[in-house]
This record gives sequence, C-alpha cells and structure tokens, in this order.
Amino acid sequence: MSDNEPPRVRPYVITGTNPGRELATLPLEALVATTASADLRQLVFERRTIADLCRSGPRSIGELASSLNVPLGVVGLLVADMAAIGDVEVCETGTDTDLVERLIRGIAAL
Amino acid sequence: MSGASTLNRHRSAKIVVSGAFGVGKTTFVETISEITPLSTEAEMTTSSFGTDDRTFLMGKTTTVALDFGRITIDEPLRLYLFGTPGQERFGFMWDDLVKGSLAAVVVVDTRRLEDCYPAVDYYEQLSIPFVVALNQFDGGLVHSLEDVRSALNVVANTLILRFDARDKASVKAVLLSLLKTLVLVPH
Repeated sequence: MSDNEPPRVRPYVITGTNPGRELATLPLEALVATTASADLRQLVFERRTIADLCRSGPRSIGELASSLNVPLGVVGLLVADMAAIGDVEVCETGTDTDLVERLIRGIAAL
Repeated sequence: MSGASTLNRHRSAKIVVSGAFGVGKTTFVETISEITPLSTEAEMTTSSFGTDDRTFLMGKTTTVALDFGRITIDEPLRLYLFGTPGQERFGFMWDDLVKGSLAAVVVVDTRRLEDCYPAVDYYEQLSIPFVVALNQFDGGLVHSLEDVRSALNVVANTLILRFDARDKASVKAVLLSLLKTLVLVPH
C-alpha cells in the first residue's frame, strides 16, 4: 500500500448538510441513534423499524442489518438517508489511544 | 427520550477474527461475546472488464456472510468482533470490510498451519496489527512456538500465542495482548 494511505480508522460524522452517497459504506460498528425530532409516525417499513430499534439506545449498523435481515450496504443507505434529514445521528468510529486503553481496561475486567 | 441524547459519548470499534474453516474463530467470538453472535452479509458489486475490450461484466454482485459478537465496555464504548463463517478469500472485497478494524486475530490450527499464510500476508501488507493465535485442540500443540514462528516467516516481533477458544480467560488474554501492541505502535 502507498505511504500516503489515510489513517486505518477514519473518523467521520454524518450531518444533515452532507448527504453524499459515499456514506452508504458505513462500517458494521457505526452506532446509530434516533433523534428527538424524528417523527416515527411518518416513517414506514425499514426506516420505521430502524427508528424504533435506535430509539432507546444506539444500535450498530451490523445489529440493524441482522434485525432487518438485509445486507449491511442496504442498511447503510437507509441510515445515510435518515441522517441527512435528521431522523437519526451516527457516531464516530473511535481511533484514539485513549479508546484502546479503555478497551484494555474493560476487557481485563470481564 | 431519544437515543441520540447520549450518542456524543458513544464510541465503537471492531476487530476482525480470521482463520480457515474449522479452526475455531466462531468459537472465539462466541466465548467472549456478551450476545449470541449475529449474522449479516455484505454485498459487493463490481464492474470488471474482459481482456479483449469487447466483453465486460457490470454490476456483478458477490455476497460475503459475516458473524459478529459484541463486548460493551463502560456503556458508551463497544467492541465488535467479526469474522466470516466460511472460507476466507482475501482481496478487494475483504478490504472494504477490514478497513477501519483496529486489529486482527488470525486463529490457527497447528495441524494445518499453512492455511493461515494468506491471512498473515494480507495483514502484514495492510499494516494491520495482528496476533497469530494457535488454538489448542485436544491433544495439545503439534509444534513449538518457535517452529511456528519459523514456518510463518513473519516480521520479528509478530505476536504468536497459544490459547483455547473455548476458554473465556484464554480468549481475553489474546485480545489483551493484541490491544497492548496498539498502545506501543505509533499511529
């Protein structure tokens, strides 16, 4: 791989102002949460299910795909669309040393 | 109440668990995961062109099945462990799945050591930190760790460990050893 390869883990944020389709490749660990402003009564089918599942706490793209029984990419597209209009938020993938140290402490305590 | 009210503090990461069919990578995830591993799939669509410029395939879709488990660390932090239940094939498809993984575990059955060569080469090329974890099937290891190190011809400080995929403390030890190498490596 080239020397100017971007960092292995890319932090990203989805905002309502950045609805690019590239965001459809959300990784399986990305966490999704329903926003307070989302109106679930206006949502149907998979979007409604996603909003319901993510209402009480974040769910990962992988868990959503498993619950909905659709591929990761399909969930990614749906979530990207929902994030673009503010029905959900997606949180950053962590990459910092502090995160690794927290993982170490947490796993050691299992 | 919305889930998003606490989302700012949440973080997640993933580790990929690799290994040939039957080496115990599913057991590895099952042993440590707080949930029964879930299944999903990733679809990859490609365009490829024939060598004679007259034939091409567009929108060829390949599906990769994935199993994954989860460990929740102090609620806002979650670690996902994922692997492929079937035979592994590396290449561009795997790149998309592995990109963004903190690190990798290569689970190995020493009776079929050569099965792990593609995985080891792959992670070395991508500079993804990995551990070679020798699963102790009944009867103990066939080779010594030094024999395994020579056979794999890995970079000198590659972590090679023995473990038992059915034992939680053993799986914990593999993950901890792997994560500790991340703290040492500048990135």
